Amino acid sequence: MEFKEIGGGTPYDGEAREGTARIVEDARDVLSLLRDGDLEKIVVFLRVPGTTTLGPVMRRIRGVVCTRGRAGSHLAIVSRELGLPCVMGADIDLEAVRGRQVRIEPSGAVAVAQVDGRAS
Amino acid sequence: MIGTNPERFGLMRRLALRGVIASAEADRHLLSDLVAEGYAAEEDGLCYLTPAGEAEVARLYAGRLSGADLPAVEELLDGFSLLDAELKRVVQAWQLKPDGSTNRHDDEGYDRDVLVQLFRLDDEAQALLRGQTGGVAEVVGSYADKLAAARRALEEGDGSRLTATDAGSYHAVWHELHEDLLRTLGRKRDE
Repeated sequence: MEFKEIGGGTPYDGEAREGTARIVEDARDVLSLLRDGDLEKIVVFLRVPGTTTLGPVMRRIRGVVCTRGRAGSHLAIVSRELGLPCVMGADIDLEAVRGRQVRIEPSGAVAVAQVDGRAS
Repeated sequence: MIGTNPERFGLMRRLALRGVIASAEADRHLLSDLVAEGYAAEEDGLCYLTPAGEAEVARLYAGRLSGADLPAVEELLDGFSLLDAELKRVVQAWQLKPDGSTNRHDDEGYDRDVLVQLFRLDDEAQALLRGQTGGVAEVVGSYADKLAAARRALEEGDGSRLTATDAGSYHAVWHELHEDLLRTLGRKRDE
């Protein structure tokens, strides 16, 4: 599968991760993730760097990308503690990743899978 | 100043600060009341505040202290915010080496230096928190004790007490205190 970079944020120490992008806006989205299962295939995208709502899923998801915040943000600190790849301050449009296969890189790059030269 | 029910405010605060908690962690009667009033929702053994609940907890936070105490909270938050920037730096240094690699805690000298910086920061934080009086002291007093407990554990060699994800680590207590101060003033966290 080919991926096209769409933006990026802070780097992290770890491996590249691929998964299905799911956007989390509030607690109900977290419960939806739990109900839908397959958390091990999910990369969570969100906007709030100080969030605590991801607590129930952070040990199981593939990675997390936040469109705000920095390497010192609460989400980044907790992610590092759990060994979860985390990109902060990502300059991406969340709608561009919703439901798509994505890849995050230790450089902080965020990429979307391509099918026939277009985003999948 | 909370007036109605401090246990109810306590549960709503926990939900507000932690987002989602296991229903088993909450008092069954209090949670049932909040659900019946539309302030909380419960699914699959987890519970969280509804938008109405977020509005209600904001109202309770606004009434938490008297108006006369608010300037002291503002000043406290200003001082705390300066320390917060340093705390973030120290925590990052604890988790990551200067080259960005994960700190495996295999260099005692490096870890000791980071902890010295943390303890220096904690001295300032303790002075700031324990210097409060009246209603503000009631809000922050328990946090000063929890930070002191985490520091003692670190001094005794338990390195997990800085950034562990459970509620008792230094970072977890610090984060909750910051959130509590912000909500008391009706503000939201920047990051």
